[in-house]
Amino acid sequence: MAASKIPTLFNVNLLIHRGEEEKLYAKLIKWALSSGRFIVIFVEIITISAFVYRYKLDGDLADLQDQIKTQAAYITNLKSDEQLIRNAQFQISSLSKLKSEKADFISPLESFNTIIPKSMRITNITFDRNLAYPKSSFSITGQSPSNLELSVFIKSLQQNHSFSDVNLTNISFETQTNFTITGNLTGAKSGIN
Amino acid sequence: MADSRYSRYYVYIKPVITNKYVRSFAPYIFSLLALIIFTIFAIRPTVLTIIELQKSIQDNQKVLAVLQKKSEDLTNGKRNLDNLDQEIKNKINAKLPTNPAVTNLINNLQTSATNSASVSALQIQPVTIYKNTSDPTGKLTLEELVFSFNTQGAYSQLTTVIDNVTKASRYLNLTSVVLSRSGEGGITLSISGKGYYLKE
Repeated sequence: MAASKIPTLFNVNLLIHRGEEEKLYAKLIKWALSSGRFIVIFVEIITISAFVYRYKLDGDLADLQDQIKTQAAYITNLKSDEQLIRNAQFQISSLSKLKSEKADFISPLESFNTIIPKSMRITNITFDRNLAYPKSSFSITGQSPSNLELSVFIKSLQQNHSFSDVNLTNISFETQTNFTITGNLTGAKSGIN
Repeated sequence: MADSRYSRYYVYIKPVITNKYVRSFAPYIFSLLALIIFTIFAIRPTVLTIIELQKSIQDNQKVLAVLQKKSEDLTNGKRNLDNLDQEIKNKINAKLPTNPAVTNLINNLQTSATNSASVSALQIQPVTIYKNTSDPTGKLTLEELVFSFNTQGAYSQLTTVIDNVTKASRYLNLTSVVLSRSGEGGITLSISGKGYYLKE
C-alpha cells in the first residue's frame, strides 16, 4: 500500500513505433479533415451571413433611392411655388431692410422748431444722406440778431442727442450775424443729453 | 537524383519541411495560413462591400432627410403664402412693385404734395422699362429709381409733404431734403430720393 503512493515523475511508453516520421502531405490531409474543416465551415458561415446581410442592405438602399426619387419629383413639382415663396421672402426682407435704414428727417425738423430762438431767421436747412447709415448730415444757414442767441442755439444743438459733430462752419457780421452750422443726425429720437 | 530545376526546393524548402519543429507545428501553421488566405480573399471583400453599402445608405438617408425637410418647408411656405391676406399682399406689391412703375411713383409724389402750393422740376433718372411679367418665377433683384422734385409752400405744408412722401403707398427713401427761403418770403422744398422696385 505504501509503495503505490509514490508519485511518478515520468511516463515512458516503450511501445511507440520509432519508424519513418509522418509525411507532410499526410499531416495536411489530416489537418484538412479535422481543424481545417472547421475553419472552412466558419469562413463559409461568415461569408454566407455577409452575403445575406448584403442583400438586406441592397434592399434598404433601393428603398431609400426610391423614396429619394419620389421626394425629388414632388419638390420638382413645387418648383414654381418655391420661386414664388422665395420672391415673397425677398420682397419682405428687402422692405424690412429698407425700412430699418430709412432716414427720419421729420424728427430733426421738430427738434429745430423747439430749439431755434424766435428772433433767429433761418434761410436754409439741408439734410443729406451721404454718410453711412444711420448717420445723415445737416446744415442750417440763418441770421441771428445777436451772438448770444446763436451760442444758445449751438449749445442746444450740441445737447440734443439727435445731433452730433455740431460745428459752426461759417460766421459773418453785417447788420445781423450770418451763420452756417453743420452736423450729423444720429438717427436717435430727439431729446436732451 | 533531383533535377537542377528543383535544386531550390532541395536547398531552401526541404530543410524547412523536414525540420521537426515545423512538422510538429504543421496543423497550426496550416490553420494560420488558411485563416489569412480566407480573410484576404473571402471575408475582406465582403466586409468592404458591406461597409460601402452602409456608407451609401447613410448618405442616402441624409439626402432623404434634407429632401423631406425641404418638401415640408415648401408645403408650409405655400400654405402661409396662401393664407396671407390679399390686402397685405397688395400693400407689399404696392410698396415694392416688380417693375419700375414710374407712373405710380409720379402719382405718389403728386399725392404727397397736394397740400402745398405747387410742384415743379420733377425729375426721374433714366430707367429701362421692363415688361410686366405675368409669371413671377424668376429670381429678383432690388433696383433703385432715383427722383427729385421741388415744391413751394408754407413751412407746415412742406413738413407735411416730407411726412407724406415717407408714408407713401410706394416705399420711398429720402436722400436729400433742402428747405430754403425764397425771395418772395415763401419756402422752397427740394427733395431727392429713391423709389425701389424688383427686377427679374
